[in-house]
Amino acid sequence: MTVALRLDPGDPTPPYEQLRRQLATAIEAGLLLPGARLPTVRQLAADLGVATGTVMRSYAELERDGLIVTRRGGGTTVGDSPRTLSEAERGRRLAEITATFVSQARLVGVDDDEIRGAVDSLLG
Amino acid sequence: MTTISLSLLFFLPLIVGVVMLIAAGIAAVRRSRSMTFDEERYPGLAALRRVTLRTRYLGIAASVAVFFVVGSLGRYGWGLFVAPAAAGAVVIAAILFGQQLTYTRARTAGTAGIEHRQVRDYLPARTTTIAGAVLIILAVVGAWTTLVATPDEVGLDRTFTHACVVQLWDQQGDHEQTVVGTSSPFPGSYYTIGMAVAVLAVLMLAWVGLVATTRRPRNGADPELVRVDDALRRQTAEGIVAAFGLVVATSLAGLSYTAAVAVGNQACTTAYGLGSWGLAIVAFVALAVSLRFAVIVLVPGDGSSRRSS
Repeated sequence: MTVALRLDPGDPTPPYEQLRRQLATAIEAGLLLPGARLPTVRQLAADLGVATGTVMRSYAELERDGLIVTRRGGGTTVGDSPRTLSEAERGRRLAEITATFVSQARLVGVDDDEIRGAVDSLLG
Repeated sequence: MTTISLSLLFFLPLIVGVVMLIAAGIAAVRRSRSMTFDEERYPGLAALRRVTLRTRYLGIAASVAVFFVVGSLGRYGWGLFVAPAAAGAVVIAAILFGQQLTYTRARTAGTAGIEHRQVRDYLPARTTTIAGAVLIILAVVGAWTTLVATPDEVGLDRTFTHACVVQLWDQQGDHEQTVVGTSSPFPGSYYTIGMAVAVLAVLMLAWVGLVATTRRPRNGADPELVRVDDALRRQTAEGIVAAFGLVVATSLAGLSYTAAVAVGNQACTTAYGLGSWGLAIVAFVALAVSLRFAVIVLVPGDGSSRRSS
C-alpha cells in the first residue's frame, strides 16, 4: 500500500507536527516496515512544498522517539524495532479520525448518505 | 589491384553510409511510439510533456546554428573542436529549460509519497554505458595526440612530426638518411585543451540536469501519476545522456579523423600506416555511435522502462 502524506494548510497544527504524526502512524501501523527507506529531507520538502527545516524537525522528533534512524551516508530508515499499535489502539485511533471527519463533514451541511457516498467513492 | 576492388574501395564509404542511415531510420521508427495517459486527469503532466518536447526541438534547431557559429571561431579550425560541445550544451539547456518552466504545473504542493528517488533510477543503462565508454576513448586518444603533437611555425601545438629512414643511392653509394616530415592540423594541445574544457563543462551541465530531473517534486502517492511522471523523467534523462553522448562521439570522430589524416599523410613505415588506419576506424565507429545518439535526441520515445536504450 502506498503511504500518502498530506499537509492540510487549514489545520492549525504546525506542518512539522502534521508530518511527524502521519509518519509515526504509518510506522506504528506497520505500513512502513523496519528498514524501509524514507525520502531525503530535501526531496520530501520539495514534494510537500515546505522548507527543509520542517522535514528536518519532523525527522529529528521521530528519531528521538526511536521510530526512525539516520545514518551518515546511509539515509533515513525506519528503526529496527519501532513500537507498533495494538489492535485496540488502532481501533481507538480509527474511531478518533472518523469522528473528526464526520463532525467536519456535518459542518459543511451534508447528510449521512452523502458522507457514506463520499467515503465509498474514495475507497473505490 | 583489380577494377572491382578499386570500385569497392571507392563505393564502400558510400554503401556503409547508406546502411548506417537506413539503420538510423529503422531505429527512429521503432522509437517513435508516444507516451499515452489520461491527459485530462493530469493536465500538468501533459503540459510538461508538451513543453519539454517543444523546447527540445527548439534547442536542436538552435544547436545547429550554434555549431556553425562556434565552429568558425579561432584560427586553424579551433572552433570545430569546441562546436560539438557548444551545440550539445544548447540541447541539454533547452530540455532543462522546458522542464523548469513547467514542472510546477505537474506538482501538487502539500502531498507526497514515501519514495526515494535517485538519479540512477532514470538513467538509460545502455546509452549511459556507451556514452561513458566513448568518453574514456576520447580521453585516451586526446591524451595521446596531445602528448605527441609538436609546435607549428608560430608555436601552436598542432603538428605531427615524424621521422622516416629512407634508402639513398648516390655517388657515395647506398646509404640511409633520416627525413623529418610534419603534417598539420593535428589535434595537439592547441585543440584538445579547449575541447577538454568544453566537454567537461557539458558533462557538468548534464549532471546538473539529471539531478534537477530526479529532484523535481511530485505527489508520489498517486501510482498512475508516478507511472507517467517516471516515464517523463526517463525520457528527459535519456535526452540529456544522449545529447552528452552525441557531444563526446562527434568530438571523438573529429579528433580521430584529423589525427588519422595527419599520421597517414606521410606514412613511411608500417607503424604509421597502421596507426592511421586504427584512428580512421575509431573515427568511423564514433560516427556510427553519433548517429545512434542523434536518433535518441531527435526521437524521444515513450520513456518506457522496458526499453533500456
